[in-house]
Amino acid sequence: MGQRTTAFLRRVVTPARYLGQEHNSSRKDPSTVRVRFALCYPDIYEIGMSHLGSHILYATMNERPDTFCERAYHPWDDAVALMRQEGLPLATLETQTPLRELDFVGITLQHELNYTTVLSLLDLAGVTLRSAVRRPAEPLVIGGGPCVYNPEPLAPFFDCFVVGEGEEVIHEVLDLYVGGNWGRTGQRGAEQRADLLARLAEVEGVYVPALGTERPVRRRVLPSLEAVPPPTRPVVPYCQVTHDRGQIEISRGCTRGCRFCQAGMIYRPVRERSVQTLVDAAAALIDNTGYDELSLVSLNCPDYSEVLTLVDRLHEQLAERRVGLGLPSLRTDTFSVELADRIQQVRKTGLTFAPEAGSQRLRDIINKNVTEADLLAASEAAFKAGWHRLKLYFMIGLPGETDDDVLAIGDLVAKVLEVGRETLGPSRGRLALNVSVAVFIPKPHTPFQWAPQLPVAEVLQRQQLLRERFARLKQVRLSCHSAEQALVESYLARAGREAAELTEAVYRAGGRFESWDDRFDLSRWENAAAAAGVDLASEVNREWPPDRPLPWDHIHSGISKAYLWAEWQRALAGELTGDCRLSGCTDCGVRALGAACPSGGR
Amino acid sequence: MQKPRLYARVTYRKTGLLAFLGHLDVARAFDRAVRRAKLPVAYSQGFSPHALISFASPLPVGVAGEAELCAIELASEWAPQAVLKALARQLPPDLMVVAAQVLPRGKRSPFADLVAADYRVRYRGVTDADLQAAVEGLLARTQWPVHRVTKSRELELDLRPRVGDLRVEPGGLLRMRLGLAEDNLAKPEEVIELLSAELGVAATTQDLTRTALWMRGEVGRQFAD
Repeated sequence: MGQRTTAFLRRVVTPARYLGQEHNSSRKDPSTVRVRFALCYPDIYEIGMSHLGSHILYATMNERPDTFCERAYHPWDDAVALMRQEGLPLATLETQTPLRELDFVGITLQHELNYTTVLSLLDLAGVTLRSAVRRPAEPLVIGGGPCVYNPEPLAPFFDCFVVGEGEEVIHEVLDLYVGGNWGRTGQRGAEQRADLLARLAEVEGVYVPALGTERPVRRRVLPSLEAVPPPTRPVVPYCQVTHDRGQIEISRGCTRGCRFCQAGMIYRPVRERSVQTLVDAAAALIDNTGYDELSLVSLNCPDYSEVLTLVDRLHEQLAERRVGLGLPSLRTDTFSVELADRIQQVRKTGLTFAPEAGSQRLRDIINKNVTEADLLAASEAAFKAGWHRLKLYFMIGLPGETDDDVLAIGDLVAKVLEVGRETLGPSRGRLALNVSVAVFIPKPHTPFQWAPQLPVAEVLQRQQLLRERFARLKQVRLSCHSAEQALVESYLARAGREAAELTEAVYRAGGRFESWDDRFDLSRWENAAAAAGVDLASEVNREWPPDRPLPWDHIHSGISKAYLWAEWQRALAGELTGDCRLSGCTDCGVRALGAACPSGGR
Repeated sequence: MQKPRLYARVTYRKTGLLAFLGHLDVARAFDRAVRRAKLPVAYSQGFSPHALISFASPLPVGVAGEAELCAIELASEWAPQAVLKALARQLPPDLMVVAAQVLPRGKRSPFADLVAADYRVRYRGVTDADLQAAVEGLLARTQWPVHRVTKSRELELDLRPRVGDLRVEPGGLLRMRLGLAEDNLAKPEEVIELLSAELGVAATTQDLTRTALWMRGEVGRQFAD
């Protein structure tokens, strides 16, 4: 039996996390299917239920009559303690079936600091952690998401990873599973498991770590999004989740070419859904969920070719149903007065601009092709349209950064404040700027993958500069990401398979929910690193030479190493590279994946 | 001057595992169900318009309700049966609507007349006879002193006049009718506490359920004002 007994629910906070039975959740008879898949998110329900990718996979898998996809999230501490005490294994929300009885345990890997929670989740499920000693009859543990672009730190714990977009390849995996005589979980023999893994490794985009890293794994990419309609019947949670709204992905990929940005590389090329598809999907989504807010999802919504038409048409049908429209973080050069006016008509959702760096020099290094004038114009448009509160997103620790660049963040924010005071006039008392300052982390498959990570002490010193700069500005709220979390995230992002030992040691020492800053404890990592003879800082704080083999060399994102290196060199020289959709092909290499590439088309 | 409002008053249940929903969860579920059902709900004014849906006396997490009340302000006339049918299609069995009425247009809150509630709780570890004896013992007392702590203050009060009915049914079931109006409120856990002193043995209770909500005029004189 799972967690859902009255006695259990009485003893945990927020029992609504564990109830299931949500609107649109799948209700299948497990005896009628040939595959049972546990789709897991390595964090609590409220975080996992906010993840659009999981809703996409849940929907597409459950469209198959032969498959029942159920969900599981990592329970909160009180529930974990009860489960340990009562010997309850982690079970699915839909049917309370222990995960270890299902055919697949699929875990989405969105963030390096979730890795210890991944291990905790497998352990709670009673699944053997190491795939090498996992019994043949146990489920297959399969991973996906942006972290699989360097899967090595988790490689020993997974039977396979899917690299790239999952909508097609998940069906190839399921087809293979139902099409062969591999045995179901509970009955599978050693030979059957080995055969199955060998066959899975032949599926394009599937990486089976046990079979070695010699064979390159090519990222899966959909030629067009029109073949995969956006999910319009997502599960609607009872309790309030982090992103408690409908989400529709309007486009995938970005070719702006910001050199720190992994998403801007690994989701290329840009593909858009048509206005009509999106308008129809939005109507269906609200009909089927009843959400009062709809969020458009894209790496930069204003880049969508017909964004004003789209927003107008969406507004037409959402306004009478009092549904607000939200856009995620925006580039400042593309946010216009017209757009500002349109998205605030029903309900004012939050507005975030991401200038990333304070000085033009540094914005040129990272290839963020926006200017101070862009930010000030965008802010003015927002204030004029009635916003009083803006969120501004910056990074520190970028390659080539000096104290002057950090202080320039302060100057830029002060100018936005000034624009706000002037534009808002009598209501300027309500003006508030939330300034969020992250720590730059070199990520695989980006031009900055060779860049050094700023040492913790220097990160702290630069954060202190900012705190002092903003101390007297009452209308600015500064939040800085943790320098220590950044160190570990940076280490895991670029580490090889040896990091698995550390990750497991940290988990054994009590590490989980480490992406929550109050749950992170660097000493666990330092102790584990010392025991393994690893120096975390020296691994990440130096620039990597071009001939250093990268742990992810076998993972082919389609973005060529030559292009990434050239971009890194251009960064060091302070040279800009244009958006290929506006100024011609930049030879990033994605064409080799066979995807239709819009470069130079407009 | 405020214009008379039009309310659909809906009776629903919160049972089974969904008894573990919090009040805000239930409110969110109804907000979404109303939008899915395309009811002609009225909205508040201002920057963040929200559907005007209100609830009688929120139930705590873990307490079930078999006949809870929710009022939906309508922007145009709809037949009660149409409201019921449209909502029923959008709610799960454990949060199902069971009745609906459309109130005559008026200016009063649809819950202004709410005066009492019935509860049922199941006892474990005690015989029906012992439970009956304890209830009789309690009923024989003229004063039921209770110490209540609220967010703003602590107070001593006598619960006796706020309890309308207390009886035992076979299978360890205790039923109670308790005052619900602000100055006449009695909480089921307070009665359970008083009874446990009479019982003298360690009994446990489970499945606390509110079985009915009563309006003025529907129940006896005790809850008349």
